[in-house]
Amino acid sequence: MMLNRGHQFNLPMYESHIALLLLIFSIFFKTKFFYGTYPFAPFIDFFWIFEPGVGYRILLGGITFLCCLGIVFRKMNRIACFILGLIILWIILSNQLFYSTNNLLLACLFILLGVYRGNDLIFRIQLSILYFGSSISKILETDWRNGTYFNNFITQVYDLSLINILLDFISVFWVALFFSWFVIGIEISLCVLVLFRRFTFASRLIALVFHGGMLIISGGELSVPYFYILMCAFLLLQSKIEGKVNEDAQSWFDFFIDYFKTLRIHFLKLWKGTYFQNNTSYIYIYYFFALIYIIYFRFIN
Amino acid sequence: MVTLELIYEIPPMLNRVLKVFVLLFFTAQVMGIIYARFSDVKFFCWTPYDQISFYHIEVYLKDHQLTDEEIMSRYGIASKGRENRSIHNVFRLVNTVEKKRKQQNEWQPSIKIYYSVNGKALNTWVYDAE
Repeated sequence: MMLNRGHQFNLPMYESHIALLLLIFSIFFKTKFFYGTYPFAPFIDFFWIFEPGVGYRILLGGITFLCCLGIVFRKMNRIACFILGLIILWIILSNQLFYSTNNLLLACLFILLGVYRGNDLIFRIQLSILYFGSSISKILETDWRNGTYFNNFITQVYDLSLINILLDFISVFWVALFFSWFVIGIEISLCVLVLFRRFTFASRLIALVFHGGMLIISGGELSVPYFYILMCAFLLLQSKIEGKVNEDAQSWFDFFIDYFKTLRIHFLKLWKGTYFQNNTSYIYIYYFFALIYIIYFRFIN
Repeated sequence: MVTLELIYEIPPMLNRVLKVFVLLFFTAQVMGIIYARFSDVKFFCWTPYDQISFYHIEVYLKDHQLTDEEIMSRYGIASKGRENRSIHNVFRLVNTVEKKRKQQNEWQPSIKIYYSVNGKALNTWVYDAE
């Protein structure tokens, strides 16, 4: 395993891409985080002291802007991610209205990118805790165990046309019960699977189908930001840890120039089916999907 | 199972600080999950869409019933809406706002929230100004 001393301030190239993907998404969907907000109904009373402060808002917005520059230009982006994560957490703590699972996950991922030192175990534990919290709360909830939650979900909350087809053949009670335990089962499986490197592909696939399925079935309600941020988290899991050498010397510009030069090789790899063996070689595909996703859900849907 | 060892060589002191930070970071999250088991309010416990409630807020201030816009500007949420975590999160929000207003010696309103959790019977929550 090769060691690298130059990673004090910058993330490796692959993780830098994921940080950038998260940032791009945040700019379009989490705009309020970027111009600073006043505290409102904070979780901790301490935050009220910043309530009337214009300076506070400018300071918060200014630091956020500098962090964005760091991530975009890949200059000290490790520190930029860490500070940006803390700022998002700060904003959540200072305003109950900003609390949501996807905002919290976004903050956690940026913070963990800041402390990331080449071992993806931190992201694995993060995802495992997330699914643990999610599954344990469902198991201990009577409405989930007996299908009441899903019964209400299917019949009152969403117009789930895909599931309604099933209701023509099976009673709503059994459909609700099946979906309740199916969701619980998937979440428990993911809680365990994400911890093991050998199941990286399997856990990614299960998460993609599970959350992607929910997104499609609920028509984007469950939920556009959560799916995107969670997929970025899964992309941070590596099937094997590789020594990454001299990446600090490579700028974004060099990286993309190299990419265009080797476009032919990429086509060949795609043709031969060996394309998905290397993490950074299919980063364009992520950007492509991210772009389509953001344009569709932000501007069309 | 992956190991906890770090790949990139960093100063031992920084390494130690990072490990302690990460440990505390995850411990705080687990504590949040455990705490949520004993609390009606569900924050910081990774439980999105575990309970769906429809609610309707009614606020009277000096015999004047607040409009939808006034409720939105006072609490930052719609007067009629859906809460995707716990309805107690909405109660907590209202409580926090009113507690602050009380500290500023503002007139305390009379608040009622009508809500239904997971499609069950309608309940009423009444704000206690004391």
